[in-house]
Amino acid sequence: MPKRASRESRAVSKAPTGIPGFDEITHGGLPRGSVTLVSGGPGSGKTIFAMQSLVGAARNFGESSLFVSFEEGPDELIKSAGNFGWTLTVAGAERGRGPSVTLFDGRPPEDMTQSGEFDLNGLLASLQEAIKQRPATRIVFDALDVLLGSLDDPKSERREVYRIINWVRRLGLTAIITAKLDLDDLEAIAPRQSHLPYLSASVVLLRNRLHGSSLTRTLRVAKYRGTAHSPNEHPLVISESGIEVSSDDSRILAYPVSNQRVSSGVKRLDAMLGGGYYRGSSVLVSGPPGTAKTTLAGAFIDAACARGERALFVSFDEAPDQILRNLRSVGLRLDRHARSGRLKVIALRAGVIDAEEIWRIIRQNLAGLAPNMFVIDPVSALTEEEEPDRYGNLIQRMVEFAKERKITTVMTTLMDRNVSTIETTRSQVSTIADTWMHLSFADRGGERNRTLTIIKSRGTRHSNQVRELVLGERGITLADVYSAGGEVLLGTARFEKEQQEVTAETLRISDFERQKGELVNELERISNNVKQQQAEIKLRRRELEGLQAAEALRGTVRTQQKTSVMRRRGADAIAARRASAG
Amino acid sequence: MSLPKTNGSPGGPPATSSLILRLYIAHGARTSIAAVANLKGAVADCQGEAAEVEIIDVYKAPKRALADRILVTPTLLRIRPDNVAIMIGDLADRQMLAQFIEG
Repeated sequence: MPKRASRESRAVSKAPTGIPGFDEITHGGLPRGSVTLVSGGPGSGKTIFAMQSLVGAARNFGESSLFVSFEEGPDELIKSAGNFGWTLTVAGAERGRGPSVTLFDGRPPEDMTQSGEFDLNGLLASLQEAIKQRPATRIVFDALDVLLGSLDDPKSERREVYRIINWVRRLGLTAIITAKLDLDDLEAIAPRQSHLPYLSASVVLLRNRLHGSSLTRTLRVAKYRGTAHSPNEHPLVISESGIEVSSDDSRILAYPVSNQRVSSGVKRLDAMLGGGYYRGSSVLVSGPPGTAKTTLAGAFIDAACARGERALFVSFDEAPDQILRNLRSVGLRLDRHARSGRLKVIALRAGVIDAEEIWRIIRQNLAGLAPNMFVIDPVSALTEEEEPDRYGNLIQRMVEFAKERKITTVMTTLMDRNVSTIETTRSQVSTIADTWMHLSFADRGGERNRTLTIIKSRGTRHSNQVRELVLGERGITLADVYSAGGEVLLGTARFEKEQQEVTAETLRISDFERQKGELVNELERISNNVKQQQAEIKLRRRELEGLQAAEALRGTVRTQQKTSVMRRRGADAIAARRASAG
Repeated sequence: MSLPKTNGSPGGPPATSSLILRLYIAHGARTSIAAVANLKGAVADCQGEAAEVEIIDVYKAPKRALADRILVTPTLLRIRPDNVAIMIGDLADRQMLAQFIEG
């Protein structure tokens, strides 16, 4: 047990791959001296990833390696490597200078027949000899699933995977095993496939998604034993120079964090947020249709432009003129900001334009206008497509782009369900947002009233109370809500409750005065009684003292008389004393 | 148990054998032990044939394993007769093995 603990507490040594982004996500690269499983469907970039990690190790870190291929032949591999400008050496060829990537053809011969069970000792002995002839610190087993499949028995597969992993560890190699496995969910994996991910120190999942004509590739580190790593799905691009992984996590940490509070334009909301939102933060306003999400965003813009700041309003819903007209009806005169050039409103049709085009237009406008505030209305237009992944991480890219430039982002999102269930369905957007406000309707006594709740606000002590959102001729105001018997009161019910409270207060005050008077009188009465009785006590005490004094005097006189009588009669001293004592 | 590195058929001059087999094994592995026994039995059955059977432990002679690009053990190579043929596994199927040896 202590041995195990000490092994786990030891820092995991990492072998950088030189693949842009991957070493950032994994905080240093592959686990050195262990096996990493790279899994994904056909064409997800497993072979390229594995090969690039070896080329990167050779070029940047002077490490030689062996690339064992169980599927593709040396000719195909050399050709595809050449497309990326990588040079591979064929096993047995003349040894070149410097670190190299050597190919080992691990394809079973075509004319091979099989009779009975076998193991992979032969492969490992051959590889060990190849490494002896041309020393290497890294190895790739490309498409190991092909070779394992020929074992035709899960128990044998497990045994041989174990054999390979032990061999890799014994030789201290940093290894990548690639395999076509359906590993979307490591927890739910079929036992038949579980040995590879289970026995590997880390697992990297590559995914391909086709949306219409455009392909989205992602990479996720699903497992990394004993070390921190980004658990997120990261976009992956394959260009002429190979794979590049978007490692957004490291950039988020590098954001210039602002402590400046900016007014939302709604006074009471500022108070609820502890002084307004942070400049450069992202604000999510969720709610069902008609809850004044756009109006709230409009109030933010109005306040910003009134301060002399610039704002970009991207609508996925209505045309620019329509938005300005609607907001004017609730007293928000954004048209004047549009005329002064402080506000730019653009309308885009989601579903018609693809993610890259939207991104290009928005990036162009953000760079051109250099706004202080950026409104996306509604951002749910990018998440409620029939294909939920079509716009992938577009929202995240936009928010991060804005954040890097200290632009405050306000996103509205359509949410019909109540707050307790949306957290999971819109998790992508809600985790991106620093502040999340939810608007909803409350039906009470035949009225619909809007409410506002702050669900979260990062780095802020915020009010968790519900407020009634009131739309007036001069924009938005927030009103207190009354809780009565666990119910929140709004609109007319709120007014009635307020009136009731006023009446009750008046009654209570008069009642108090009456009771107070009674008590004062009673106190006075008792106090007077006490005074009278005290006087009586004094009197009685004096009477008692007088009585005692008189008695004492009478006694003395009588004794003196007796003594003089006895003396006259000739009585002795004892009798005289007895008489005086009696 | 110890396996002979080379197990030539008695009396048969190697250069002129009509049957040359090469069995790659991993010393001590269950499937390898079975393959050696199965191959010995099959060769004994081929009466009259002058057979040359070489048994090679991949860990003792890794250079040869690499040269023959051995991926799994046991791997049986038939050098003669006919062209080189490969059979893998513990050679449990007697009929398959007999056909393979005959070429």
